[in-house]
Amino acid sequence: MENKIELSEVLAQDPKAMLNWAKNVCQKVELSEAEKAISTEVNGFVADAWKFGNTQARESIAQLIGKIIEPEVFGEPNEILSQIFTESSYGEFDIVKITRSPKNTLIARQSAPRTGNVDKSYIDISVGTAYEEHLQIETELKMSDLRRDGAFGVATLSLMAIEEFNRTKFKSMLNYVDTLIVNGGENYFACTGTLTKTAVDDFTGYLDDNCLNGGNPEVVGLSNKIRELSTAVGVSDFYSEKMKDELNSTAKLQVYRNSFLVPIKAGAKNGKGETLLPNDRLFGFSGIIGEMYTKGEMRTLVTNDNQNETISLKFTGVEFGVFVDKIEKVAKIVIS
Amino acid sequence: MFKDADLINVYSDYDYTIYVPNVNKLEGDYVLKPKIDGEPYYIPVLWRDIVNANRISNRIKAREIRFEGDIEAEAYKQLRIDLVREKDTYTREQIETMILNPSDEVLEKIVTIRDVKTIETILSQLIALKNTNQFFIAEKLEMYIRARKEELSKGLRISELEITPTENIDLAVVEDIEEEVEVEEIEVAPVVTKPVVKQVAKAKAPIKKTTPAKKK
Repeated sequence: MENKIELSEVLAQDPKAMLNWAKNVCQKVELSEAEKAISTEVNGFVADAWKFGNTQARESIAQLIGKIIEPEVFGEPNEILSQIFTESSYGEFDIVKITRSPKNTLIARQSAPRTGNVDKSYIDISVGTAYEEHLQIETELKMSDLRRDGAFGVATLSLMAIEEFNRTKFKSMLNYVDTLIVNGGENYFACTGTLTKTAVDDFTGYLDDNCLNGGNPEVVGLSNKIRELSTAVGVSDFYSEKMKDELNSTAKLQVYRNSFLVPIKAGAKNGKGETLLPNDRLFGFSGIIGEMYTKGEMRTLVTNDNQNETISLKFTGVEFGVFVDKIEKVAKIVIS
Repeated sequence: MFKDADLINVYSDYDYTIYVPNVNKLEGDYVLKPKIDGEPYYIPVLWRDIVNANRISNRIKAREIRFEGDIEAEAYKQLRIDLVREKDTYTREQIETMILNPSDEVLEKIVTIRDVKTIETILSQLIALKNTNQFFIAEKLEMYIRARKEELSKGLRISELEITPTENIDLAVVEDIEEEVEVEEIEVAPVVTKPVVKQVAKAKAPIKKTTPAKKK
C-alpha cells in the first residue's frame, strides 16, 4: 500500500510529471517508483469507469488528460514558433488590440542656413488586425479498449491530442503568414521549376539584410525542399570540403549564408493527411516578426454513454491568435 | 524555327523577379527583372533553356514569362502550347480586366479554375490593385476568389460554390431609359412615318411620364 499516492500532490511538485509519465508509458521505458504509482492510480479510475460506468471515475480521467495536455498546448510553443513570435496570454473574453511599435518615417531635409522652414514629416503609427483561431477535438474511447489497455490507452490518447493540436497550430500560423506576402513585393522570389543559385543567394541575402538585431535568420521548409536548397547552389563548384562532408552524411546543410536551415519533416502530417507546409515554397524569417498569444484555458468535457459502452471526450477552448507587425522580416520563395 | 543556340528576348510580365535555371550550371542562371513603369525588361535567353524551363515549370504556360511581341506566337507554336486549349491560364492583362470589370461570367470563370497557382496569382493581383487605392474592387469577387483558393488547397477540384447572380441593374429604370430614347428618335425621324410610330410608342408606354424638359 506504500505505492498509493495523491495525484494532486505529484502535480503540485512538478507540473510536467504527468506528461513525462505519459511519454514513458508510450515509449515503454522502465518507470520510476513514483510513475508506477501514477499508473496504479490511473488503472484504478479506468477500471471503475469500465466496470461500473462510474461518474467520478470518468471525471478523473478527464482531469488527468487535461492536466497532461494543457501545459503542453498552452505553455511551451513549438521551437520554431518561439523563435519568430513573442508570446503572451490573455483572458478568454478579452479583446486584443494591437499596439504596434511606430515606424520612424521622419525625414531630415536640407534648409537654408539659420532660417527657413521645411515640409513636416510624421511618424507612421498604423493599426493592424490579429488572426485568431479556436481549435477543438472530439473523440471517443471505447470501454473495451480501456479494459485492454488501461493506463496505456489514456496516455496514448493524450499524447496524440497534443501532437494534433501543435501541428494544426503550426500549420495555421504559417498559412496566415503565407497569405500576408503577396507577389510583387521585394520579399517574394519566384523560381522556375527548381531552386537556383542566384535565387537562393538573393533570398538568404535578403533575410540577412533584414536581420537588424544580429543573430541568425531561419529558413523554414519541408525537408525535401531544404535538401533541394542544400544542393541547388552547385555542390562541386561552390562548396568547401567540410560542406561536402556534411552533405554526404546528412543530405542537408545546417547553415547557409548565415541562415539556419530548419526542415519540417514532409512525413509529419496532420490528422487529415496534409503536410504542415505547402510543398512548393520556403519561408524565411529574420528575427521576431510579431506576437503569438493564447486565450483563456483549455477544457476537457466527458460524457458517459453506458448504452454504447463508450466515453465521449471533448477537448476545447484551445484558442490562440497571432499578429505580424514586421512583415518585411518575412520572405518566401515560390517554386512553380 | 528556333535553334538551341538562338537567343530569345523574354521578360517577366509581373512585378517580381523570376529566376530561370540554366542547363549549364556553371554559367549561372537568368534573372528576369520586373517591369519598369510598365516597360518590359528584356533578357536574352538561349532557346534550349526556354525549352528546359517549359519542361519543368508552368510559368511560360501561365504567361508569367513572356516573349518579345513579334516572336511570341511562333515560340508558343514551337513549344506546343495551344492557348485555345489552356483554359486555366490568364495573362496579367486578362486578370486585371477580370478584376476591374467583375460580372457573373467572371465569377463562373473563377469557380471553374482548377489550378491553385492561377488562383493565387489572381488574388495577389487583386490585392495589389486594391493597395494602389485607385480602383473600386468588388468585395464579392474577392470572397469568391478566397473561397475557391481554400477549396483548392483542400483538394476539391470541382467546386461546390454556388453563384448567386447579381441584380445590379434596376430593370424598371432600364425600361424607362429605353422608352425615352425611343421617343427622342421618333422626333428626329422623317415626317411620313412620324404619326404611325408615335402611336406605337404611346401604346407601349401608356403610363410613362416624360419630364417637360425632355419634351422640349
